[in-house]
Amino acid sequence: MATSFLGATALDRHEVQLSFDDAVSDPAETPWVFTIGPDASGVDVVVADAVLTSTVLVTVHIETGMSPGEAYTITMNGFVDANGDAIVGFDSFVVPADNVVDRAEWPHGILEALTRAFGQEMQETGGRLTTISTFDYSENDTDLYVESVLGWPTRGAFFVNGRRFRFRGIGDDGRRILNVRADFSQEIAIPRRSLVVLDFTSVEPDDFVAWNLGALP
Amino acid sequence: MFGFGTPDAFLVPSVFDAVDWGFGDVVTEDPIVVLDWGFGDVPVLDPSILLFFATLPDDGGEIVSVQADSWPIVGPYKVQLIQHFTGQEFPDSGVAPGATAPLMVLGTGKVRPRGSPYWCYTDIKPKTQGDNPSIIDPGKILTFVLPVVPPGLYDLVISWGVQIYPPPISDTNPLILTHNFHTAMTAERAIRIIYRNRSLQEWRIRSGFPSHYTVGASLGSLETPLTGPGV
Repeated sequence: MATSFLGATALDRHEVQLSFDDAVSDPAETPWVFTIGPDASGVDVVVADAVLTSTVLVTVHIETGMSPGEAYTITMNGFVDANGDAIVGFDSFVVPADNVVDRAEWPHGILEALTRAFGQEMQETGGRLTTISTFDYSENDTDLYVESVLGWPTRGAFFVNGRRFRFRGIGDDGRRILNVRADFSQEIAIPRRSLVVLDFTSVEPDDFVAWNLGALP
Repeated sequence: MFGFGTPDAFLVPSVFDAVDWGFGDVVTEDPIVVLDWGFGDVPVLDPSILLFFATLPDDGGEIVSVQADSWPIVGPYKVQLIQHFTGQEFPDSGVAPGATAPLMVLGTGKVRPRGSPYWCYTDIKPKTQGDNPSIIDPGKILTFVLPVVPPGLYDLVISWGVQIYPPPISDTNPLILTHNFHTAMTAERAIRIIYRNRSLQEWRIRSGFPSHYTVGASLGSLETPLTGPGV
């Protein structure tokens, strides 16, 4: 009788712990296959490595991270137990919303808040949306993981270290720029923590997503 | 809608006044009378007419406008965000009763005084032919200030309502009203919070201050990653 999948629990934004009622196979010997995707915004398979915490516990590392406060579903897909029998099943879990600042007032110091406010105002008027990449982007990748795509258009171009890239979508989870390719056929990798600046001249007015309620008709 | 049996003369200067709200309107000797508009009374606000879904930043401070075809009263309203999956309140009701209201400025340029920073109001409906000039009608836009909330999917809970305390028998003053926000409407999955943007200008401004001032990171590479350690 195959081992049963009991459930999944998110430890943080990068770790998910899976529990089973009996021993599972060693990841070093048998590749594990499963998919993880957010419930709210469709299928999103993310890169994952698994570590055998004990014979019945598996800790999955989600390298690209998950969105805090979001519900995800993990589905066993060709996962096997110690006897080589297939384990099937799925479970949903909610990623903890850690680093929560629950205060009624602005959480920063007064000067920091002022400089941030000035900077954000100037950014909005100057049209230079800026974010930071959170995961290495290699030449053959399609999606670039960033901190935020808040207010970004659904297509356009951006600069990283003076190099221009085009993109054809933004992720519903607010953390990805989709279908990225380098301009002028340059194949260039983007290391994590790179500054990503929107090329405002590449954007058509209709490509912006209304992100403030006041902008709705 | 004030319910079956409501006097139709509409001698009603405002919804808070002590009038007969119709058949079924609660009449009790209980010193605290919850406002009930009678049989057939339904909350005026229909969630289906709320016109929004928004993506907003996690560091708060945005003035959010909620548009509806009609609001039951001008205010006050209490606005709270509830984490859709975990049920966690933002702001925590033990810390603050709700999101704060934006400051409103009078025509004179002075800030309009308010009963509580947590009482939010709609705009005022412009008068049209047939409107009673002595009544202030609610407009279509309710505004509140987004609190600091972690990324995630949020339900928006908007509540309003009053309690009526009958005056002492010997007192000729009208009923005493307090706001108890007993009527609530929830718009599920109304707001998605994601991380904030960065700002080149912010770092440039900070680099102009003396280093011993607490202004935060002056370079992008010095910023703390928003998505946590290991990123």
